[in-house]
Amino acid sequence: MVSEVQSAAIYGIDGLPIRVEADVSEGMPMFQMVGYLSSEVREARERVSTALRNSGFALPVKRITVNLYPADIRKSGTGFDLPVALAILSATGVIPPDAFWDTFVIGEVNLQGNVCPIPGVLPIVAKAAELQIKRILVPAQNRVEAELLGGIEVIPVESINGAVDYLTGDYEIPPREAQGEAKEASAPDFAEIKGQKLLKRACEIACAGMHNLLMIGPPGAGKSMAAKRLPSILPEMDRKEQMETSKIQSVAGLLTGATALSKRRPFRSPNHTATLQGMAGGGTIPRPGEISLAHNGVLFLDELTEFSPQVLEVLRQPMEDHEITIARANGSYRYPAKFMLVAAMNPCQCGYYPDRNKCRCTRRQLDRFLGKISEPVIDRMDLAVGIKAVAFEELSGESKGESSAAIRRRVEEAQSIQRARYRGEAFRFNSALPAGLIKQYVPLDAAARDYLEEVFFRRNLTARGYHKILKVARTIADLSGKDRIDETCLAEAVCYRGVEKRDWEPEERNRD
Amino acid sequence: MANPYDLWLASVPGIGQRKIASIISACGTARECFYLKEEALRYIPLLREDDMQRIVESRRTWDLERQWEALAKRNVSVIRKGEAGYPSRLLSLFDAPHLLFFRGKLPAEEQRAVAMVGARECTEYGRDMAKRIAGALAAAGVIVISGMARGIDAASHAGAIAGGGETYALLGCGPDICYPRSGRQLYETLVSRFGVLSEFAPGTPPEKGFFPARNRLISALSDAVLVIEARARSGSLITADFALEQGKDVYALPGRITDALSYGTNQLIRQGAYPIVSVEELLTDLKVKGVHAGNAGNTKEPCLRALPATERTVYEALEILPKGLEELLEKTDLSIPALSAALDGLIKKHLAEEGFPGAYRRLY
Ligand SMILES: [Zn+2]
Repeated sequence: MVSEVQSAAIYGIDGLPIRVEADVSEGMPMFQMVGYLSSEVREARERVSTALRNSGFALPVKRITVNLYPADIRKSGTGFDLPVALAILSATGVIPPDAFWDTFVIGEVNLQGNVCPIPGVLPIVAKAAELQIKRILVPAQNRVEAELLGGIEVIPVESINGAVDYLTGDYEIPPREAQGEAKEASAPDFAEIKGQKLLKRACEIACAGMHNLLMIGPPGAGKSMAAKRLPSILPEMDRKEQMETSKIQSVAGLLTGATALSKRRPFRSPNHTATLQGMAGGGTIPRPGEISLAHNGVLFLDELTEFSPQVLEVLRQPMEDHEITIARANGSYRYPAKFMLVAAMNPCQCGYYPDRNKCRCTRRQLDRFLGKISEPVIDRMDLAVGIKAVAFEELSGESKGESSAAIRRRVEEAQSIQRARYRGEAFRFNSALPAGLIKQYVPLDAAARDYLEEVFFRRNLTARGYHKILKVARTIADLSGKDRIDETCLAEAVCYRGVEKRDWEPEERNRD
Repeated sequence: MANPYDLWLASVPGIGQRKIASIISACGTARECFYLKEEALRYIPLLREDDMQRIVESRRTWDLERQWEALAKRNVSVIRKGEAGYPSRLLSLFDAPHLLFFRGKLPAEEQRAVAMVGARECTEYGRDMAKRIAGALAAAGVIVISGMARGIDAASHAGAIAGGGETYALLGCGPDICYPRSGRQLYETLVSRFGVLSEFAPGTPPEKGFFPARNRLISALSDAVLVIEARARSGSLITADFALEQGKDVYALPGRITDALSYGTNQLIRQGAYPIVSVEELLTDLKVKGVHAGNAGNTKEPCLRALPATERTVYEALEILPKGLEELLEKTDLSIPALSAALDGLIKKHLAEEGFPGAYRRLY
């Protein structure tokens, strides 16, 4: 007899319906699984047969064939254990076939027959809901995550026996434990940073125009303290963004415990020892990497110069395309990766360059240090801000600065101005303004034009540096509700102008 | 005239000027030493066992003809102690180089010469002052002698060239070797217009131990030594010590006592070196008449009073060492655009400069 159970696999960050068929027929006793399976899915055979035995179900001495369909999609992960087990039980007559109508089943089982949590529950539930499936059996420990969406009946199961009890009508769903709308831990706030006026303002501008930001300063100057607070001044995520971000977190197995979709933008700070895969995503059981976990939020690279060039190289494509394509032998898949890049670095090994009173780095040490800077990354930093060294106590003292909420209101206002201005364009923010459209969208008044011309020569700017200043000045104007760029906007933009490698070579620059 | 034997003697590894002097006084000439019986080497004072072995070994392998011809190929001239044209200022040294190698020419004997030395990793202040002082000295007809190192040395050479005067470098390697390599352009200028000198045979790579010896020549070739910036225990202080030993005047550029790069120079002043308080006074002290002295000291004062209020506030907050914008914001209490505009005004008036994006220092 052939039975059929509906389940789903994760493909990228979406659920993909998979049918699990089981056939139990006369013949040489054996148990085989087919259907383009990865090794961990093939191992389900051993797990499931042992789990069934330990749950009190003897496998019939017959020929058992399990097929996962459609056959052209490679199935990975351990979420097929439970559907496979239930399909076999249905084929041997333990569970009536109509019990699976309009039902999805996902879950891993262990050797005792208990159902264990799996990553990627949210996208699967979303897919099931989209297909108007009525209910879904999920591991009990994934219940909260599965119920985040609503619109579908979630059946939490603890064991194979529990699932059988439910499907044979002998089970009551336990009420959900009262979870008292757990409030998200309060986010760090800019009010907690004392002083650092320039740094805070640079953060505000970066968020308002979605500019990438480079912080240059000695260690312990509060670079990561400020970076961590960036999500608190970015507009909250809309429903679509929340879904995207939550799905990524779910696939990465990081959503457990969330009781509601978070509106707070993610902040990711991978260590410089991060591997290529950790950064980009991938692996035998594909997981999104740091750049996707930062989707819709902030990717912070502290100690930029310590990251390997290969790891930084993976940022390049996503910064253009807002997604990353992971090519694999059996096809490729995509993870979204739209993030604001924030990086921090020392100006030199000791951190004090160009203050030669403190910095004793030799030319060669400086050169070696500069050699480590990734040009493609620095090129994409519209804003650079020098940070003053301060003692930690000084940084987080009593005196209250402006709150994140107040800054966020200005950021939101500036972003809505940009949305209106760029209606019909392929981009939304000043940071994405193509060089060819700068003249059109960054109108300068006469005084500003003169000023800029002078600045260009006096500060020895390159064409790229020039464009960065204009884009940042556009954002500064948007923050103060100005339509045209005046001298004040430009004067401020000059303070955050991006750096280039040649800035470290004063001796070679028309000196000596 | 120097001959192929002199070149051989100058090239024996491990044999410095003192030992050469001892050999010459014992043997009379380098040629005598070249053919001296092995046992007789023992009678030459100062030579140790390994020195003798090296002499014997190099006599066996040295190709007198080829090496001598190589000098011309490398465009290197050579002059022997005692020969006409050998810098007489060096003769007072008990260990004056037996041979002096050079590319370009030698400094004129009758012209006044001043050595300028200081830190490689110097401050903007030091670099600036070196340039200005060298420029003023050069314009007044004083030869500037230095060591071609990065930082103060390079700035001194460059300042002298800009001032339209003469400048010479003494190297701690063969005169055909450009060290540091980053100074290629300066080296080429020095070789083609002035001169690069060394007591080390062509092809000798720089070695740490060579530099103190080189420093004694820098001070010996000069009438006075100016130390622009130096940390405690720096190589420039060795030059100053040589100068004092050789009875030359030492001048030091004073700095704030909190500045590490002024510690050495302030210390020199404490020990009796003359402080350089202005270029004009330095020229007077050196008894040379300044043509145009540049601006050191408070010559810009009148112009400051005419500055707009914010620019003046910012100028007063600036220092000679670079300051970050954040610090300037705190000090001046200005808004970011106002501070930026004021800095821009100051840069335009050449009263300030931006050394590194976001780091500003004042000039004058
Ligand atoms: Zn340093």
